[in-house]
Amino acid sequence: MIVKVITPEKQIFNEDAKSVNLPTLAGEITIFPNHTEILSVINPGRIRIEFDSGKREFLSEGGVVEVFKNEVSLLLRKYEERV
Amino acid sequence: MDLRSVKAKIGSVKNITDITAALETFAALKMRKTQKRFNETKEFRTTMARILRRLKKDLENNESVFLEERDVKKVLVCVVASDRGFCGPFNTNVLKFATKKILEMKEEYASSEIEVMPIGKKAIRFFKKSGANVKYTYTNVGEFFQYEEVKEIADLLVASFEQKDYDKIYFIFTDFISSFAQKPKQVQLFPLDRSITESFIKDDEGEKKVEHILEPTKEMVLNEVVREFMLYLIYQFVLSANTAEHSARMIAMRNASDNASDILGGLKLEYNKARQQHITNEVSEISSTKEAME
Repeated sequence: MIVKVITPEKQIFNEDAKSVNLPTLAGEITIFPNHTEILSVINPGRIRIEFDSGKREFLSEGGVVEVFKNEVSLLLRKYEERV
Repeated sequence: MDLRSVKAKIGSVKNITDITAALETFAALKMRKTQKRFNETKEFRTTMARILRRLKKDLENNESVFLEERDVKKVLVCVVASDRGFCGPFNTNVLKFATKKILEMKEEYASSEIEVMPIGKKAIRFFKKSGANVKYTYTNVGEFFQYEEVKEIADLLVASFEQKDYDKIYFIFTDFISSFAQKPKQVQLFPLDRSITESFIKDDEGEKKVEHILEPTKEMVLNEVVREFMLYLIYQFVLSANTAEHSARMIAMRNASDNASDILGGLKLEYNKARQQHITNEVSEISSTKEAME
């Protein structure tokens, strides 16, 4: 499953990931590979992306998430990576 | 011309060349920076446009506030120009284009009020002088590179359309095509003209119809998606205008430098001629004195 994190300024990353956990308007969801097509609004909060080798965490101000053909696009207004 | 005045002229032309050369370097740097930014925003643009295309069916039912066509009572026109001069025909072009478009709008929406929102000092001065209906103004836009900096304008536009302060919002800016080609352009922001987003992606990228799950409700998701895209579009347009401004300035300054060195060549010729004449005069004076003494 390809995960893309994009802000209006540029693409932050585009990598293969195992799962994505994020808060949406409809509640917190976790997206695994082969998830059905979905479009939702991201609430401000923490986004966790898990890879085979580890994980990365972002704080965002919200945005839009789309899952399409096993590709997750996170369009964020503003983000900050937590180390 | 006498020797001294030519010499003074050469000095001043040389000074001008120094200034224009410095400005050219500056503009070139800024242009490269904004162009890079402009290209980096491509990913967001195409992703957003693809999402909107997939949502086409839902959008056609006008389920988003931002697509709603209302009776036009008040129109807002945003015009982006630069804060500073020295950029050739950049400002003149966009302001002339805007004036023409506003006149057209006055005919089209004869019964409605038209308000102008000039962005950039040159635009503000122009519209205040021409007696346009101005309420909000913004400056310092030429230095904008970050999304955050345009957010104030974008938020205001989105909010004022939502609150029905305006029924139509147009955006006039200079479209950056390449370093040598920039063209003023008008787009209809609110209600969103979907041909704008369509122009961001190629036709062959059209995907089969998909049924997305829209959570929590269709309306909420659509509104939010369109709003995000609106904010982004405004950022994109301002960035495009900035890139165009810096390119225009660079080219104007390069032309000025070229012109100055042409003039400098002519002046040097004149200086040498004057110097030659001076020497000839002196020689003939000496020889005539000598003759007179004999």
